[in-house]
Amino acid sequence: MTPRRIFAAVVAVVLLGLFAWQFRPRENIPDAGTPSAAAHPTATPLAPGTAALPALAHATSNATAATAAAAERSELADTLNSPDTDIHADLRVLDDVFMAYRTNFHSDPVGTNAEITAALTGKNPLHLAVVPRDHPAINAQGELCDRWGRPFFFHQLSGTQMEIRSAGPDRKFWTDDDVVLTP
Amino acid sequence: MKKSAVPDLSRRHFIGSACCAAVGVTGFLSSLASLRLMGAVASPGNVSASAASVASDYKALVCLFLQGGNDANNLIIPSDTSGYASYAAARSNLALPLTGLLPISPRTSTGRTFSLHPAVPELQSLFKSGQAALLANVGTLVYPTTLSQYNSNSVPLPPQLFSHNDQQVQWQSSVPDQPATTGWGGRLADLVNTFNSNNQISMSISLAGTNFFQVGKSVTQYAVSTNGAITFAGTTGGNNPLRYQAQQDLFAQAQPGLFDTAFGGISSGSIANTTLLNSALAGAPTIATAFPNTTAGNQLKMVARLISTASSLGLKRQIFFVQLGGWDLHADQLDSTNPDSGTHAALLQQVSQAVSAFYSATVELGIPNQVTAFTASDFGRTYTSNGSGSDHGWGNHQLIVGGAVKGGDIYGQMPSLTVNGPDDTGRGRWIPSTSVDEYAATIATWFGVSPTDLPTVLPNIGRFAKSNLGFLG
Repeated sequence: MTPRRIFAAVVAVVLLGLFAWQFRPRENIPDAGTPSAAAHPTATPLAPGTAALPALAHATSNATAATAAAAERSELADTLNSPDTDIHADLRVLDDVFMAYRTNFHSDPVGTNAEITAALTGKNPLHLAVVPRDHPAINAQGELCDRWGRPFFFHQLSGTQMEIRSAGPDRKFWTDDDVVLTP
Repeated sequence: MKKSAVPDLSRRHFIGSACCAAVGVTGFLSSLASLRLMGAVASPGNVSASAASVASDYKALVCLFLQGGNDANNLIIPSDTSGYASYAAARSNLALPLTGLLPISPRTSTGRTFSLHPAVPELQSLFKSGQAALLANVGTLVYPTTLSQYNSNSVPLPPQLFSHNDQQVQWQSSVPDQPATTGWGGRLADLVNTFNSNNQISMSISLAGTNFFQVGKSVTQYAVSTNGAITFAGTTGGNNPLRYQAQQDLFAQAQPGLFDTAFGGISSGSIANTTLLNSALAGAPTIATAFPNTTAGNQLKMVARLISTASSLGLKRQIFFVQLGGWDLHADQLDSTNPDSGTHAALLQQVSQAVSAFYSATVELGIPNQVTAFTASDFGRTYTSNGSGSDHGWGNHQLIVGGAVKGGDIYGQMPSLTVNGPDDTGRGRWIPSTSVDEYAATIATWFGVSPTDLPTVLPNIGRFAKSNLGFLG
């Protein structure tokens, strides 16, 4: 057998091996919280009833940290209405919250503030809470409120564009001191 | 020994050449596929031309889209004593005074009394004379839905309810449960385009730029302005004939690249269409009917002018799209010192005056029974006030105007108008009792679509009770 034929035979064997490898038995997809799930935090939803998932908006860039803390409360909205920040930072926090929601559901929650807050706090198909239910910004009516205690106005421009409005210090909407984040 | 005509090829050379050829052929086929698409877009009439059958009558549809979500809760208002009291209590600072409302007497009585907004006396007249009908509580639905089904999430709901963009697309596609690729106006045009003997000018014309409603598979929408066909700068020949001729010659030349050639062909066709349409408009009789100089008025005036050119263009079926924005009134919906005025009242007045003038123009053209105008909007609005305006709702009331309309009646079913009542998903967001599919099917049927072809235009129509609501004769 010439060296050329030996080489051709080796190449053929390697190609056959690669072909067979494509049809190998797959491993079972691990449940959320197992070490294997750490590499795919957004691809594996939490089981129904799971209370919270942290830092989903940043999960793609910090997958390991997000999954390791899968059983802990979401930290995404921790700085919302913090005295160390301002209303502009609050709106950015909420924008991140919506981005995290979109990462899992491909579109924003819709409806009134209370309906949207319910979705963000776990009333969704995956029971995924990107905001903890006991977040201090949520009032007795289940609405997310700004730092002056007035519920935010969530304006659904499209499935992936949510305009967020705070009534501002005067607590009255549609006045000059309103603060708006338009995506 | 004589050498073979086939060149000697080593295995390595053969594999290498074959790979290169495969890559080349892939690119070539891709180019051909793209050019076929471009050709279909450039010549929408070619597909149907062979099967053309000119209809004996002319018909036109005009979709007036109220972008942003019209608060029709203040277009049709309960005006009997108890009904008005409930209305005033629920709408609070959005309630209109009873004294200014315009009474109507629908042919079909449900025991409730309704009036119209004070800003629409022209619509009141059309309603009384039988040329205008109202369709109550129509909206996007995947299946007929009750409140208990909504609350238990036991039937699929239109995705992204209350979201502007999504609901606009769903209203215009009427296929809310699937990714929309065409609009129901576009599918309707695809089906009836065979009625037209000439398709150089598309039967789907938009006065408001591109829209989803008119997206079809074979018929493409043609956008014009309120002044007529939109011309490319320097392509009219009026200012610089030499440049114009040079441009024409350049487009007509065979180019080395397929895409270049296609671009030249499409550009030449577009310029030819512009010239044809503008010359047809120039030769059309002047319409004496006075139109208001407003956004809606100017668009509908151009629609009337385009309709007057239909016969010269060989068109027996036309679909027009007109749009008026500004209805998303979360704030300043009405004037607090004079609730009968304000932003919403001004918009309704604009619609009322423009639609009335348009109907008069169709009478002047002698075709009132062959033109039907109808409204659509993103969604209704909350019955309760947010303090300054209303927020995104769901079911909404719509208006249909034309000589073929069995007017003077309210079709469909008015909601109970009770907050937290049997139709309310919260804050007076009514669950539609009539689907967009049923609304569109009634219009499509009048336009010439047979019952067997309706699912082609409205794939989900079989899920709903009625494919003809009866408001068109």
